[in-house]
Order: sequence, then structure tokens, then C-alpha cells
Amino acid sequence: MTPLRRPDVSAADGGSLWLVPYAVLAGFILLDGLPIDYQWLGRIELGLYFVPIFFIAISPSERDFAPFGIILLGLVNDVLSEAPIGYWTFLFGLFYLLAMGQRSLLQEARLGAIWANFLVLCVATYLAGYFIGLLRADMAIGLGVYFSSAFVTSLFFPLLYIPLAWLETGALSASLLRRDE
Amino acid sequence: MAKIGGGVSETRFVSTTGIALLCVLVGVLLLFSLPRDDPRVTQIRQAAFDVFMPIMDTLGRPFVALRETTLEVSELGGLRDENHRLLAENQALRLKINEMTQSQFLMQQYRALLDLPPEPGLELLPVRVVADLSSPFVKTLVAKGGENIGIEAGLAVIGTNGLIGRVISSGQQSSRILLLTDFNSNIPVVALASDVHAILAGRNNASPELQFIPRKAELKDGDLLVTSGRGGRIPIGLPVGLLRLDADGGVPKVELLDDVKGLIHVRVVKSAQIEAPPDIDPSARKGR
Repeated sequence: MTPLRRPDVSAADGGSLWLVPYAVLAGFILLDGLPIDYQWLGRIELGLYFVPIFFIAISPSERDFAPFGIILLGLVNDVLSEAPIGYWTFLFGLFYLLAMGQRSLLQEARLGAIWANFLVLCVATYLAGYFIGLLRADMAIGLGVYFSSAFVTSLFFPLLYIPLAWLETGALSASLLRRDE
Repeated sequence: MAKIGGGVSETRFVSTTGIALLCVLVGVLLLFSLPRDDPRVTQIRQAAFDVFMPIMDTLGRPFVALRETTLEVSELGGLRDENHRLLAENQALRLKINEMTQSQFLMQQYRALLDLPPEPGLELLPVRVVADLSSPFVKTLVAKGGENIGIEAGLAVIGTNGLIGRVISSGQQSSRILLLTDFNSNIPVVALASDVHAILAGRNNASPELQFIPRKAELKDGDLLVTSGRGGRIPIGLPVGLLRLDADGGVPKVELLDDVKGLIHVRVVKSAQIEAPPDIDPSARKGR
């Protein structure tokens, strides 16, 4: 596997491309509430939102908007998912912070390493979510369910991360080509 | 330091990491300072669902259509067996109807003899589920329809076979339904055969528990639980589930009559609210 080197889209060349992962994140928040019968998933709490957050956090183009945007979407998720207000806000923020710390490490990393990193961060975040559940009387979360959720979520990682990275690189190259012409 | 625009850097008070840390702190503060049943939170949630309901409704339609088509296709295979089963069930139901007509007549006679007031009539409002917010820590549905069709907080909600929950808040176009399986759901019920009153409490899993059972109560496995009507908001006699006793003497579990997973259509039970007794004059109470 070749390293997934991502371009800096903070310059004007990127246009509104940087908004794509936020839109994907918002989409997952809305999709999460749909009455789809995930019988095959059982009681798993699928956290697909963590993929776009990870994508934003390890982006070479650092944006001040990122933590605000993620926290705001976390609040929206708290409201729409009926979770205690602050639950997803905290978990989104924590995951973003943890992933941000890996940014320099993952700039030249191969997909496998990025994937493994995502899995570790997912497990850590779900564990934090479990501990919050222990501190609150109105939440009952099974540790096993949360660990399985972290693993199942990470299985979806390449399916979402690769298209996002491809879109970013492809669209940016096209934009640069147009500018050169 | 945070980079703005195409590589231009500025002297800043807070780095992006600092901003992120502050945001996480805000999350923690919100989490431990706002109770889940705070009326302001309920209002915000309801207002948000009123705004997002049309989007969720539109997004969910293809999934619902796909699920209904899959169900129809899978049912086609067993059509012959289903027909035989329905014929037998129909025969049994005819007998039941005769028994019920007789019971209804007797009930009318008894009520007249005891001079009991008539039970308030029930109106069923069919609504469609647009969001299923079931997760390991919450079991809630969002239905299309709120105050615009007369739905208000506290009303009972039934599925195909029995009670599934109650409305916890109602907006202009949407309403939130707390399922019986939710950790915060507590419904007064009565076991029909043993005449034992108890509280059905959700545990965030498929089988709610029966709590506050009288000490000397003799429960029977498989006993039908119905709503006791205590509290005045949920009508009396709505079927809820079957009692399942633990062989080791643990807390009795309840097998709900309806599968609360993947519900598409539900009915809100609108009943006349029972008026509270008039306030007694404290001076008159003292004199008694």
C-alpha cells in the first residue's frame, strides 16, 4: 500500500472542498435517526460520524473552524439522538483532540497504519462514553456492546475514508490544473 | 499556531488545540450540569424535531419502501401456510366474539346496577414513525404529527398488538414517543389472572422489568399484563405483555406483545382526561 499523502486545502484552491467532511458528518447524524431496521447489527451503536471527524482532525490544513464545527454538530447529535446534552459533544471533541495529536504521525502513513490508529482512538472514545454512562443514573451502557461498536465502526473506516481522501485529492488536482491552464 | 489562508500565520492567543480543549470542556460542563428531563432541553429537542422532521421523513421514505417491499416478497413464499393459519384463527376469533358480546352485555348490566359512570371513549390517531432513536442509552421514536392532529404529551401509544410507549412531548408537526423499553419509562400495570398491581420499568433492553410488586403477591408465568389506568393519563385495560418469571427467583421480566424494533406505523390513544378531584377546603378537612 502506498502512503496516503493528503494535500493542504486551506488555500483558496480548495474552494469549499473543506466543507465536504462536515456535510458527511451532518448526513450521518441525520441518517442515524432513520427508522431502518438494523437487525443484523443487534444492539451495536455504530459511530460512523467518527470517520469524517478523523478525516478533519488529521487534515494537513488546520482550520480554527474545525473544533467549533465538530462541537456544534456534536450538540446537534445530542439533540437529535436524545442523548444527554453534552454526551456526543464531549465524545466528538475528545475524538477530535485525540486524532489531532496523531496528525504529524499520520502525514506519511500508509492506509493500514491510519486504520489501526482510527481503531485505537475509536476504542478509547467508546471507553470514555462507557465511563460517562457509569457516572449518570439515566444511562445504561454495556461495556461489551461499546467495545463491539468500536470494532464494527472501524470496519467501515476504509469505505468512507478512501472516497473522502480521493475526492479531496482529485478535486484539488483538477482545480490546480484549471488554474495552470 | 493556527494557520489562516494560504500559509499566512498570525500571533494568536489560543491555538486550534486550545480551542478544541475549550470546546470539550463546554461539552463536559453541559453533560454534568443539564439534567436530561430539563424542560428547556425537552423544548429544544421538540423544536429541533419539528424543524428536521420533514428532512427525516423524506430521507427515510426510500428505506421504509425498501423494507416494506422486502417484507412483502418474503411473505409471498409462505402465503399458503399463512392462509391456513388465518382461517383457523378466524374460526377461533368468531367464538371469542360471541363470548365478548355476552361479556359486554353482562358488563353493561353490572355497571347499571352499580351506577358506575361510563368509561371515556378512546380515539385512535394513526401516525407514521419518521425516526427511531434507539441506542444503548435511549429508546425513543419520533412520529409525524403533533399538536396539529391533537397529540399531546402523556398519551399512550399502541402498536399492532398492544402498548408500546407514551408521548413525552408534542410539537406543531412531530411528537416524541418514549418506548416501554427505555430506562426512564415507568407504567402502572396489572396482571390479569393474579390481579397484582405493579410498575413496568424499562431497562434499555428488549424485556422491561416488573417492579414494586406487593410482598405476598402470587404471580403466574405467562400472565397477561394490562395497563391499570392509575395516574389517570393512560387508559385502563390496554394489553402490554406477558409475564415471564425467572426460575432463580430474580426480578420478573415482561415479554412485550409488540416488537418495538423497526416500527413504521403506530397509533396514539386519545382518551378523555380524568378530572382531578376538587380541592378540599383545608379548614373543612381540619373540622373532620
